[in-house]
Amino acid sequence: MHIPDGFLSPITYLPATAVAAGLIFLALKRAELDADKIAGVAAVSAFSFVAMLFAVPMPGGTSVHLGGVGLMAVLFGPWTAFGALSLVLLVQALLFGEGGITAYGVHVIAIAFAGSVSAYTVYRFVKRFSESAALFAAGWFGLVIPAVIVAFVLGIQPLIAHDAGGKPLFFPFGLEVTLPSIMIPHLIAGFAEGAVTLMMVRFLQRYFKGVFDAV
Amino acid sequence: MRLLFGLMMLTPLLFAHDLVHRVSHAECIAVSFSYADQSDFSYQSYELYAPGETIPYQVGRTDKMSSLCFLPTKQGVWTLKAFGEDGHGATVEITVDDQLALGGYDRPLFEKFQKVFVGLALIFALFGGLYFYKKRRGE
Repeated sequence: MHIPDGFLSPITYLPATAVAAGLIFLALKRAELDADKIAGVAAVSAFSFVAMLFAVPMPGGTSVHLGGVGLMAVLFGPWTAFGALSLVLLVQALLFGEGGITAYGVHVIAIAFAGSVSAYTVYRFVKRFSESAALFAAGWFGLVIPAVIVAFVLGIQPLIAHDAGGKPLFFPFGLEVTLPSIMIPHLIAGFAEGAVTLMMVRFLQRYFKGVFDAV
Repeated sequence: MRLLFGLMMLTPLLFAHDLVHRVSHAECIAVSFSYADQSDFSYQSYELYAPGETIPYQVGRTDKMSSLCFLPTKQGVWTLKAFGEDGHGATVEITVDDQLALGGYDRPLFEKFQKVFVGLALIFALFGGLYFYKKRRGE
């Protein structure tokens, strides 16, 4: 899901970086992260970092990986999850080339912000009916919503950045390619993410109740 | 005369065991070894197996720089077994493509997971720093 450098036009990544910077500034004010919670956030951030590194190549030139976005949002709330995931994405981009530096703003918006907020909102809504279903749905949405945004951002590149002859200057494939090639694998992988979220939360509730008491 | 003619006919046999040589510049596949602490693996023995073969294609010892070279003759996965005198060793699978060039190779476990270890250490260090900052501020 991570977009490399050179795929996005400046007209995309400059505003995205500005929006991401604003969201990070907001998160610094709104995230409720006292010292006692930091060990838990660090552990789940580490899980998220490792999960994102193991990408499975998919037909169509894309790859899919778990992200731990729903898990983070459910355990620590959307703003703390957003801040922690932004940090994970920054480490990946700056040190390991997992996702381009110019694409960092889009990743922050898609994965850290939209993923966390959608996962947390869905969790709160579905929890009224079934907590297990809510955890599963949080995992599923936490993976699929970022994939929708990434597919959309990539797919509009030929429309917004092309030369006089209509030749794309950056990512060359339109929405008719990006939506199916990114969405189909992520719709399926969402089930694995949902299952992992459900199992991880249950495991942490049982064995680490003192640390993970937010659920 | 017959004797002389007979001797002349036999003269090529004198060259039968003469070792001839040819020196050329060719692109070989080079493999370098080292221990994880970067100490060298020089003059250690190795065996190289061509794809599907059980008899070694090449045996020898690594050079002073802990390296060896081979010229592959067929496409597929070549297996290189290196044996250190201290009992340590390694098996490396090297993929040779249809152009008889290097297609890929098995990365050492450390190299494969180095990124994970460094990333995890960094994430824990950052959160550790945040923890001490928050503690000092009494949050």
